Amino acid sequence: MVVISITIILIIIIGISIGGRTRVTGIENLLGKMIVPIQKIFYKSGQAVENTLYSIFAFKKIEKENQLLKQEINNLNQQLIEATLTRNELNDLKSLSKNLNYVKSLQEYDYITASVTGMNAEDWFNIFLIDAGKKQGIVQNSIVLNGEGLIGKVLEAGDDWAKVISITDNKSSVSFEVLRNSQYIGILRGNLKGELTGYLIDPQAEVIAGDKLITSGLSNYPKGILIGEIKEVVQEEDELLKTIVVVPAVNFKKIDKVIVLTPKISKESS
Amino acid sequence: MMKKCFLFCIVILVNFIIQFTLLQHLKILGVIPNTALILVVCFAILQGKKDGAIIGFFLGILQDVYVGNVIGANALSYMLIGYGMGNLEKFIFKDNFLNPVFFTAIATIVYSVLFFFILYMIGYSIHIAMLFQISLFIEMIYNGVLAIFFYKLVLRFMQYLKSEAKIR
Repeated sequence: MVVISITIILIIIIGISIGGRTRVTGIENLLGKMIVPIQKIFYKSGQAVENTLYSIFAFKKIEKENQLLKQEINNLNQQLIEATLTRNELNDLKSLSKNLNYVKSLQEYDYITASVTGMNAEDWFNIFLIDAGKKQGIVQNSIVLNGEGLIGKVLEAGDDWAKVISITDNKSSVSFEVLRNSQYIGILRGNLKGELTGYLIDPQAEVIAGDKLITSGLSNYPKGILIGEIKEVVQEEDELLKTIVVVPAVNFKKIDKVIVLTPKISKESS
Repeated sequence: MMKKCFLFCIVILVNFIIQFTLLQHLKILGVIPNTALILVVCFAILQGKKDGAIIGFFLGILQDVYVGNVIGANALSYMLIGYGMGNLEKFIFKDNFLNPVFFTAIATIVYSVLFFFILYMIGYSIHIAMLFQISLFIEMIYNGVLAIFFYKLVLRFMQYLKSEAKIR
């Protein structure tokens, strides 16, 4: 009898808690505060073990990677010089727009760096625990990224910890645009295999495998964050839309440090 | 009784901390063993349905709150598995170490099906073909092998508790 009643209660709780809650209860908060620092140590040591094992078994591969990286550094150095030039130009233009009193369209964000302290990397979804929370200004739906690209958003935030759900989740969708041609836009969604599937709004859009995708700024996410690379383009005969399969830029199995974008406005008002 | 509750809490917390930190980095063929599920099965077939359901519920709720996408999904799955397996406790010969292997393998499938069903009910667009992937069978074997060690550990743990009770 007890089991049946708890089952019914749990089913109701499942229904209520879909899509994350804006507030977490006191007990969760307290326990989270206690667990997160301990987890951090274990997460770090696990990572260390993995990295050592990996470098033992894959030293040939690493050598090859090293050479590729050296080549890339040379390329990037050249690009850096060009970028510096354009940056100077941009600064001039920005000061000009300030003088002319342009309305700023971009919402400004604060950046917080946090470490991952735990994760649940199943086939069907990826969830991370990070060691920063409401005290640092993180709210629900704050955007999370790292150096490689977009990771996801905050599902629930406690005082000193927060739960992050990745973009590969089936329930979170991202609107994207193609880096090569910003007119090609569309929507992506996790396909529960660690990849993203989506479609382009323009059926005539010419996209090929290897095209890089960035966020378009139309959805929750700010513009210009790298999402990933198109793996394949599928054109079904009886469907109008072009379906694409995208490999995320972030390696979700190996995440250590993340950057959380928190809205500046809400922090000032609080 | 106090002591038992305390020890249960420690088992649950330690498992939670290890499973979602260390184990995430030590996967074989991309599969992570589900130690929470193994613990539920071991406790259920040694201790019966009541303890199985309790430990399943708390292991699940902890997992849901901190690393789950909906609260209650894991708690429900683990609790039902713990309760179901616990019903078989009376028919099981406890010194046979093949029992935990067999029951853990079954529980892995049951858990996947239950969890799949819950995800489906809350609106994930998943197809039944995604359930029976090769990784499920790898996980079955992985869990089964680990279950032997966990079973021995839980058995010793329970004998320790019983001997303490007798002395008093």
